[in-house]
Amino acid sequence: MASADERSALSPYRVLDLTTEIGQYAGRMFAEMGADVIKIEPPGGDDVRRVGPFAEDTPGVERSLLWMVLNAGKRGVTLDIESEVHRSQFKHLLASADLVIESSAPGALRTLGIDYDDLREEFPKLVWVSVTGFGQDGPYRDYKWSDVVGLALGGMLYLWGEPGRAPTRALASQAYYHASLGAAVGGMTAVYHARRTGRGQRVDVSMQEMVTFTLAGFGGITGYWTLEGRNITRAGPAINLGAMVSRVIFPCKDGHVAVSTLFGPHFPRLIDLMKRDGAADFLADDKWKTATRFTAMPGQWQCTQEDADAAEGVLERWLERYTRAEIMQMVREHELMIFAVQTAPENLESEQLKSRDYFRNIRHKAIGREVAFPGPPVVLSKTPWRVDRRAPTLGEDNDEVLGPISATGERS
Amino acid sequence: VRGAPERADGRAAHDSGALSHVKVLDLSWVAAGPLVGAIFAQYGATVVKVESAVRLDVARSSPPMAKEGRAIDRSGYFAAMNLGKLGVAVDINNPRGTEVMRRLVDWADIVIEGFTPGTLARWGLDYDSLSTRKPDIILISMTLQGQTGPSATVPGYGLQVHGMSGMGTLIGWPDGPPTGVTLAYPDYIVPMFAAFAGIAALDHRDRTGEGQHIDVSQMEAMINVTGTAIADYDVNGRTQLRDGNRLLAGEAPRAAPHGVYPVRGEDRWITIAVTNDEEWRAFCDVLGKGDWLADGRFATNDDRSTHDNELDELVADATSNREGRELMVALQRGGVPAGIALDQEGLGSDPQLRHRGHFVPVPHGGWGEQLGELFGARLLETPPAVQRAAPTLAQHNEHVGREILGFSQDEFDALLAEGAFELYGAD
Repeated sequence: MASADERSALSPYRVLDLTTEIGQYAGRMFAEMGADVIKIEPPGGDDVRRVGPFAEDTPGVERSLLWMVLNAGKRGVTLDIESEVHRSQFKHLLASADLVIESSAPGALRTLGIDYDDLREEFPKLVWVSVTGFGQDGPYRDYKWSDVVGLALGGMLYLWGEPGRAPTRALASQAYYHASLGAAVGGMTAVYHARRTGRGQRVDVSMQEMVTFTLAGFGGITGYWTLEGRNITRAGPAINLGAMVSRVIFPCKDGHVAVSTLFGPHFPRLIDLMKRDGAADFLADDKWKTATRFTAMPGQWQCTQEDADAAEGVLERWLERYTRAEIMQMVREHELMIFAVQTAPENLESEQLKSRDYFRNIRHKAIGREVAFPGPPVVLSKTPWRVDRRAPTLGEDNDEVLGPISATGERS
Repeated sequence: VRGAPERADGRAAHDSGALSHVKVLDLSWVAAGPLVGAIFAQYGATVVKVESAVRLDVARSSPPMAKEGRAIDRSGYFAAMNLGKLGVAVDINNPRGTEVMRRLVDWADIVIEGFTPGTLARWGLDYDSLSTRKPDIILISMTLQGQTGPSATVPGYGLQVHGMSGMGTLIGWPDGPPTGVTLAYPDYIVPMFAAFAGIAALDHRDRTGEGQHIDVSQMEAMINVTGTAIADYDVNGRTQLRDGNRLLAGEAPRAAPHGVYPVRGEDRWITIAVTNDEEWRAFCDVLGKGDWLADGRFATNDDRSTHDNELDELVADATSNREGRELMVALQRGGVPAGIALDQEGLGSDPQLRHRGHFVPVPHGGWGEQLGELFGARLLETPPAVQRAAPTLAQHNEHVGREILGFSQDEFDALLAEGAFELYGAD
């Protein structure tokens, strides 16, 4: 069991995880840092088990890839917290827990008598993280949430997608990750504080507010309104800097590449390569080697948005002559600031990631095969972040975890 | 659930923060590294940001920009990355500057840096040197691709990692390019992984006396938030690609209607996520489209999933003349998940964010008032708070030199005269 491992940072701690999709990744982070995380799901299985894609596209409670991804590293038990008998088992588990992470609608656990406010006197050192769409109070408290609703009310959706069309979400639910990351950071901070002081507390995580953090931290995007009186909007494959829009993603022969801001230190070398191919067009004029979009320093030539758009057109036509592999070869030889835009199969073959032993294969007995997982998001030198334990099957650890409790005669 | 109580000078009193005894030395630049320290500062840590007055942080010239103050201090972007910190300027190549740096290391529990791998060794500030001097130090290194490997020193920005990690290919329309680079998204996700690991490492240090080096590759952290992209390719051979606002479900039926629909006004949108029959009935009721309930194409979720394109068109027709916020409130009252796509002005006036005290004005040393924001994980007994605005360049030289490092006034004056502490524009 990971929690017995001295080399894990969080091995002294036990976490009870009652979350749905909105907060489920947080428990995995604690588990892979060494905590004993017990995922508690209803006897019929967590809703995430019913979310696709499924292994071989065949639905089944043990076949959801999302379940596997969000619950790796955890142990699993089934408890129906709406039943009184199971609630008393839950309270037994609480006695050994340092942290609870839950994502019930505000007030829902209160009606069952197992909200934090019902339990805090009995468990003064317990940390209780509540992850919800909008937080435990306020006019949206009882609003229903989903990933795309969180992105919208957190201000990110407005910035994603192409101008002139409806904004778009990401295929992987980002607002749920934002909420989970908030639960992990806030929960960890509160556990640390509780160990030092003996005082637990509730951590109230709002998905909406966590989404706002991803708008360039503590005001980097809202500042366009408060400081400059403008709203920036989505810019497709470009970065929007308010007074200027600068293309980042360009098509090439076999896909796309991501180019650092056009007039960075690599631009003169880019122009030379375009000249070599007779493709520099008007960029052959030497003034372009000193071009800037920002306020020109001595020796620089300040160009307009129109100039820059035209230059991007020349670059686009040149890049379309080459494949990503050919471009990356030029990147290495000429120190260009260009990265290939990649998808999963290409990342699985990445030399850089291979050299760091990044990807991990974990055997899932229920589907009879290994599944590839992204490796540790963070590499710690003394207490490794371990990606080596699969998500639990339904009720897999009931005997081990609840057995001692049932011995008291309280289990149904 | 507000910021901590205000002091008379307008700054939040924060002696009760969960990390109020923690000392952080921030040597990092631009965005991803600085935000790690900014999160620690919200939970009460004392964070000293060290800059060069010659080689300025790129963030200092990045928009949005305040209208007043010295050019180098006007960036709202820099302010967003460095909220709550003390700021000093030190010449790290000056022998006495090196001495100042050593004193800062001796003071710190956690050091954050984002230099190209290998750079810190030039100043004797690499992990081996630091840990020899101070075995329990925690060093957080923020890079694009990690400390090791053939691409460890390849230059670039978080914007490009957005493309390389696969995230870009998951955002946008199936007939359009990869998108989502309107802002440098990885720069704002990865700091949360680093902050989590940093506090866990601090906890481990307190219990064992052991420090460590935390190697954060933006690329490796970002692939972790691409959901099932890796597993789906490995198990099913499917390369996941952007699909507008559809839910990902593989070959299985997906919830419908689920999408982003126009409402009244220029570039105004509402998101609607109907996931079951109960929400479907409420949705039709609020929109006054009882006839859809009798339409065989939309009878069950599987039917709605099969006909989702037709359904999306009908929904867009029905929402396009509605006022967005009114429709959101009506749908939510009916029990349907819905939300309008807020722009920056809309965030500032959003009633929920206001209720939660999300925006916190603090006096800024260069331009009147910085509108700080709170981290969305509220520890209710030791709440996050804004200790102070972001520093102007070299703003806290004397405070840090005298109060934190304990130099006498004469010693500090000498260090300043010798150029160990720097002032902007001084030779």
